[in-house]
Amino acid sequence: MTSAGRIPEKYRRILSYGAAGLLILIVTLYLVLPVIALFFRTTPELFLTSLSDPLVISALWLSLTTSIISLTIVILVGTPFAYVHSRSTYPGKVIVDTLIDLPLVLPPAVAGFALLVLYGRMGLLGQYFNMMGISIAFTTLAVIMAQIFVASPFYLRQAKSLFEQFDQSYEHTARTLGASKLRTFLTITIPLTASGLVSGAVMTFGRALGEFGATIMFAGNLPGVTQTMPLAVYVGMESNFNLGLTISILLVIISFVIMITVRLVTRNEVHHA
Amino acid sequence: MLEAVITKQLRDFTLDLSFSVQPGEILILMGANGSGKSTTLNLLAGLLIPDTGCIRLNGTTLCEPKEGTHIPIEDRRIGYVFQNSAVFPHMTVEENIAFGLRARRLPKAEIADRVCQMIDLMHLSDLTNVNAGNLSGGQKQRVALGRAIAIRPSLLMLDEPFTSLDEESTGTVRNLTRTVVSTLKIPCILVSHHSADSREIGDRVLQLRSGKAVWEGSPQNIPDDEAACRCR
Amino acid sequence: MQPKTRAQSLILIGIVCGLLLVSAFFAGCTSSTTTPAATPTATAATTAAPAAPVTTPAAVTATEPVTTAAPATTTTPAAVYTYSEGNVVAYTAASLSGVSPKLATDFEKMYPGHKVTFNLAGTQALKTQVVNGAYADVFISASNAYTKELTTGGYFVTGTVKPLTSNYVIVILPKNNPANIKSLSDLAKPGLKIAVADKSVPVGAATTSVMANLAKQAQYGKTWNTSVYSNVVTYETSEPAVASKVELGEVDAGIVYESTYIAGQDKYIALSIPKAVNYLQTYTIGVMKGSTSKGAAADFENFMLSSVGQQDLKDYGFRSL
Repeated sequence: MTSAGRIPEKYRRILSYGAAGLLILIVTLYLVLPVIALFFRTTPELFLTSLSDPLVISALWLSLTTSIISLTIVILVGTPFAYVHSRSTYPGKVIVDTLIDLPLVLPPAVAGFALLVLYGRMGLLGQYFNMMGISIAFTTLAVIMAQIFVASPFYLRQAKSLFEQFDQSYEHTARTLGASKLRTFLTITIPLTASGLVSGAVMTFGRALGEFGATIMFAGNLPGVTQTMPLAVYVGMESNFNLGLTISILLVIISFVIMITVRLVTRNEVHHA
Repeated sequence: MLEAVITKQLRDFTLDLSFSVQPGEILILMGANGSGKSTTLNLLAGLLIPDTGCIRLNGTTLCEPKEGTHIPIEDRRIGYVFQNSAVFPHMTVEENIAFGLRARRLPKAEIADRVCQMIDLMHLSDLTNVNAGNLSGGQKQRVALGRAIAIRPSLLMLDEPFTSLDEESTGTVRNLTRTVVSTLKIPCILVSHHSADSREIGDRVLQLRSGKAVWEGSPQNIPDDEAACRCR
Repeated sequence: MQPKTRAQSLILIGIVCGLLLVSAFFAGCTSSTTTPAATPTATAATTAAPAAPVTTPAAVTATEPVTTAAPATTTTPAAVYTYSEGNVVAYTAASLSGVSPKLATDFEKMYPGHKVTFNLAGTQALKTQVVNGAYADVFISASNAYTKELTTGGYFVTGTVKPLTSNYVIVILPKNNPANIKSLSDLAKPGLKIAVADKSVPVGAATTSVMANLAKQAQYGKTWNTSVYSNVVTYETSEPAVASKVELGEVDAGIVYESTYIAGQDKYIALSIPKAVNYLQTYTIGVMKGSTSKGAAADFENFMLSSVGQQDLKDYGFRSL
């Protein structure tokens, strides 16, 4: 006995499962297919031989070292900053809050140009550094500075949000039990926010690794010194397609490795509030 | 002995209290939500700073704004059990109880000793190495209590510790509290809505409304209209 | 148990359907060749009416109906030469950035109703885009190598590839000459900062040739060449990028086109390079086979080759052929 006009239950189920499946498929494919296409454009032999090209090796080494250094600095400076910022109210806190997001909205090329105008040897501050014999633009240091500028908001926002939402009764308890502020921060706050911080760090690392616009503006493009993998891809695409492809694939592989490692590491952490 | 005279301007009213708690005495702090009970505990612990007044514990001034005295939270030797127990979920029961002792850098042997004592006292022997996050509500509160007592505090405070516990656990923790306070001969403040707490273990009751004490006396004599304000 | 396995099989059906949809989509896309990403529009209604253009385009193959590679599954209509008031998309070597606004104004004056949009980038970048399917009506190349590559690949309408203008290479220094460079030999001074374009950029390749030529001269030699290259701090990806680094004063010298210097004499001072060792870069212009407004494209090419266009280029420092 079916009521007239209503789709029977089992067909409605088919529709909703099918629709859900299709939706998942479309989203997944859109993200995954371009990456797969990269792999299809070359052969394993070609890829492996390109790996030994000095240009590839120097870009790889430069990218990894600068990104790791940038990430380390962001974590070491950004974590205490985010904590202090979230736990205190001070005049201008709202402004600082907004400024943290600035690099996210600024086009990377503009960021690079701004860094150049500030720290370049003719720059507002750079001219004084230059007088002391310190050059910043066109060095590996510039690469790191550009990466930190564009990537730090990812970590700072995440850390800030984590600390703001962190149940302070844990910290208060620790304090009453006799732990100093620092001890509380290191033994209670950090471990309990760790998995969130790690995911923020991963995003930061990824952004730093992929940074292009600010780097080429501020640090320039010099193999072995400032030619990171994204720059090498861009340049390689036009002059040596195969190298560009190889480096792109390398970047994909590195990204996947990071993602999977993080998943595995944070999988075991389960915290109840 | 705890002597507290505190005022603090809060958002809706001014907190203005003057009371004392004797060693071995359990003072029940009652009142409607938002009447200033938790704020009082936080002021005593040092998590908040009063505007004026003086807090003295066993003769030592913990805080006196006029003189500029303010002993930091970690040095006040106050045991504080929160409503949600706040046991550290990333540590085992043993590590939780040992936390305060390790923070004070006591020798390892002594830490092991005291932790053992507490675990026995709180009937947690089977759970020593269990992650505190996996415990039941009642077990967590026992850990919280053991953790607070382990540091041999001069004052014990509990903020609505039985809210999420069942009858049986409530009874257990209540009795443990009584035992501990009597044995250690320390003053104790218990914020509670349960009339049963006043009856079972309360020595004195202080009723708050809008930050002021409106009634003080023995648990047996709680005036009817105040008693009717119990929520449970 | 039953609903669960049923759900699984339904999801499987959904995935298979999705796969079929997606592969159909890709089959459709990949079978077209230089089909533009932009939608082919007005020329669908092909009027063979040869409405008289303002200037008679002599060189354009006006009469033959040009067809795009017409695959079965796409909807691109076979384009036919038709005078259309349209927008010309000109993929143009970046060194024409300075003169492009003037060219646009003058083109529109000469052909009222036409408009031109310049896509300015290093010729190497433009070539890559076109080869991967980007739409262009006209291609102005700064490099013979890339022009040859595109011609061989069949991207131009036959017979439309013409030499446009030329440019020599020059060394520019910031206005205040911070490193006090007086001659080409000074470029080898230790501690200098020099910006050049990457060899994939036409001016970069030209730079390499010029440097090689100079190295052969007794006055400079191989050591000089090596020293200069060790002073290079960046290989930029376009010619204007090199110029801007010099203008900002962030480098002591840069190697760019003469036209950049001539058009910007208030920004730099220059060290000229003798013609004998210099590299004369020839620019070409051509109409793209994939263009759907070939009429307008041809008009643009005519304009560029006309006395007006050529004068504009000359005013901005390019050398007429």
